Amino acid sequence: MTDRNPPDPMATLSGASVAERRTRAASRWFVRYMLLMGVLDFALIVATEALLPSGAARYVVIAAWALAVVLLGWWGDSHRVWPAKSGRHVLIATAIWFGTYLIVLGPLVRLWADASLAWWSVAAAVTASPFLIAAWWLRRRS
Amino acid sequence: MHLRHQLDTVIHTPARFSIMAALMAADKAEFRFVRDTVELTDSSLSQHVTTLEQAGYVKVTKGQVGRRPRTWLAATRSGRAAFTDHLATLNQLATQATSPRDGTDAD
Repeated sequence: MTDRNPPDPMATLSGASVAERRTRAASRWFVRYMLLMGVLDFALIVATEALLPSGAARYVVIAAWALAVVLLGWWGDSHRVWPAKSGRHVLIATAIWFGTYLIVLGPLVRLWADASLAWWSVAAAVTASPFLIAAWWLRRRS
Repeated sequence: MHLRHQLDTVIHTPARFSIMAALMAADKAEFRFVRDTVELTDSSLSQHVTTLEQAGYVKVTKGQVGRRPRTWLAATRSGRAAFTDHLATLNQLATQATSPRDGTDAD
């Protein structure tokens, strides 16, 4: 493509449309990123609250989760495009996940169901749902 | 006043308009990705990006992934607004070009 052509509106719009489509196509990996974030966050809550509620193993799980999040971040940075509003999606989903776990569902489930695997699985699924909803929404858009 | 006077002179060229279109769908995109997508050379893209950056439409960030240096491009808020306005004007021009003249677009 040369940039010395006279700017014909139809040709300009067509070229821009191709560029936008290519960017969207290169952004599809982000759906998997959000899904994996949701799965990791679900697993962290179930493992630390229901499967290993006390003991040193709990801290090993937290360290493994932190490492997995860092690796996921590296994987994300290896891509050439971060889709529009991706940073906002991650921030909002993480805030909802952590907020609902820390303030609402965590204390409630701990009080009423102690270390019940079933109840913690439900709570973890609810807290991780913003990641899954964002992934579904992004998949529909792309 | 003719619609062409409403076109943004910075993103008027097809290359810069395509660069902005590519960046509109992204939070950030790597320099080389934009180069390949818009089909420009490194130096040509560099020049266009400098123009867009000076206009405040694009933000350039340098980073590193592993040992590889990376340059990220992102459309700024004013760049997004300028692109949206420019796109609307272009669409109106394209519509005028394909529909019968009604005499209202004369200079």
